[in-house]
Amino acid sequence: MDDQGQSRARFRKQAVRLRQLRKVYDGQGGPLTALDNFSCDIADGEFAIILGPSGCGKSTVVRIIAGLEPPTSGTVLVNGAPVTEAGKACGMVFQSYTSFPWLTVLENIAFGLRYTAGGGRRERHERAREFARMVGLADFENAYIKQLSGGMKQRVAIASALATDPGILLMDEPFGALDSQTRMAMQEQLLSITEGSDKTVIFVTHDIEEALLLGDRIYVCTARPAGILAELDVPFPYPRTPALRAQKKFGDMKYEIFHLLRDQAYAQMLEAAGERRR
Amino acid sequence: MSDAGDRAPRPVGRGRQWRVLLGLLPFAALAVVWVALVRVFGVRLVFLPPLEDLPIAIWGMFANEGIAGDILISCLRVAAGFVAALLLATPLGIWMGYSPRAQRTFEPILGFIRYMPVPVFIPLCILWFGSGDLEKVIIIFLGTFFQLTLMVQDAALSVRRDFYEAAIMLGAPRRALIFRVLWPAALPQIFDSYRVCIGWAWTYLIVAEIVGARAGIGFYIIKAQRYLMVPQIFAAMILIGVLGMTTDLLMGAAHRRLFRWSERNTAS
Repeated sequence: MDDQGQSRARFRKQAVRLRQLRKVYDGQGGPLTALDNFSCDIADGEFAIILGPSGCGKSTVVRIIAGLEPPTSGTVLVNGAPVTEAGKACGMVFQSYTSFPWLTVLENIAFGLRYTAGGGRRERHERAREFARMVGLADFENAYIKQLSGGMKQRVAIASALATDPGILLMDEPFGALDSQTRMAMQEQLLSITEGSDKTVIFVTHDIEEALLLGDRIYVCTARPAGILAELDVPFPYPRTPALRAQKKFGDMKYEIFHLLRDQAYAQMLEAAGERRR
Repeated sequence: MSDAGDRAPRPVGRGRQWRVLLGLLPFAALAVVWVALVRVFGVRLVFLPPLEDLPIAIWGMFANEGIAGDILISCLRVAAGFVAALLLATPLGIWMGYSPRAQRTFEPILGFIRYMPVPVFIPLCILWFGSGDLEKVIIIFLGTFFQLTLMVQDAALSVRRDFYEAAIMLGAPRRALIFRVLWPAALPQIFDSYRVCIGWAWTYLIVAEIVGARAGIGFYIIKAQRYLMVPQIFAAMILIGVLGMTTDLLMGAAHRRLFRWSERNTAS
């Protein structure tokens, strides 16, 4: 128990179950297989990382879990049931800045509450205010999105998603567009938010350090079409801090995953080059 | 990303007055050329009246010829035709921008009609509706509606797809997407289309009034031409310019006020 207690929720029920997932797009040069034979189980309350080389199709996995896209074939169960309607079981943070520029920060955070929580405008804004405070944007409640930096925009997106209290939070490379300092600050903030909660988080990234710092469990993907190459438990205890990066174990794991990914990245690169020639 | 974003920051304070002065320079140049044509090159008064006659002509238009009534009539015609076009084009354009089926249904016919020059409708409209106010309003409507619908559609189509997905993931039902995402996201560009179209509305009004009317600024110009009242022709043209520019300035100011959030409106 002590052993397992470090990585949360090992024995709890499954939040997401993927079986033999396959997704084929109609590309310009013929059908393009983004996912093939992708199977995994993500436990309730787990911080799951989907790690893979750029362009391998890992984003497609969360889009399918979200219900934004149907799989070509395979089974998706979210909380034990098939996904019938997007936005019911999961919240999502996108890589692009998707906060609405015509709304203020507070109105953005309150947006989803209209559909997911009861109460009038006043209560919704009251609740939104809590989440603005949680992500450190209390002083920017009435600012418009264009006045914010990239990191602040993503904090609005995170607060908006969390305010609707989804059981599962999907994050599709949410810090991918940020500079590295902002990125580290955001990782720390995300840790502090999720450590105290029992939310399932499914976090897509190609950054090995980010994966090790944030995740309970890492699902390493193959080059396209994405499948599961390896599943790794991340043994570091909570609360985690950026100082984790200095630990030997962290470096060892980073190197191990780097090796796993390197071949895949090469394969991905060669394929991309082949496509360009075609 | 936005065109304004790439520009250098705007000067403030005294720089603002300097910008206005810059805008007046071409007017001054035009006046110089005008005076030179009359005084130096001796262009005959029938073709080009002395510049100093224009203020007198404008004063006379208001004092003796009741141009204010013509202006009012012209403005009302523009307003009626344009508002009618706006009220119909906005929902249709948004529908076409939202539903590919609606787009496939309406785009061909709109694209077909919009390439018919508006003046070709005038003979038919006079035949059907006479040469009164109704005919003018209909000409303005026909001149703006088809273009405006396609421009509104374009604005609706340019709404980022991930905004819809973000709204859906925040729990918004599909039916809420038009009013809670498409409309607010596209509104600044739709408003821009209004601004462009109202300029066309003025053009079509004058065309319709010149072809056949008993009142209005265009009618005034045709009357002045018949009696070779050349300064009055120029005076009326200047009046149209001033009216158009005022409308445009007002619409521009409204845009900055209404859409403070827009990336394009840099002052916040």
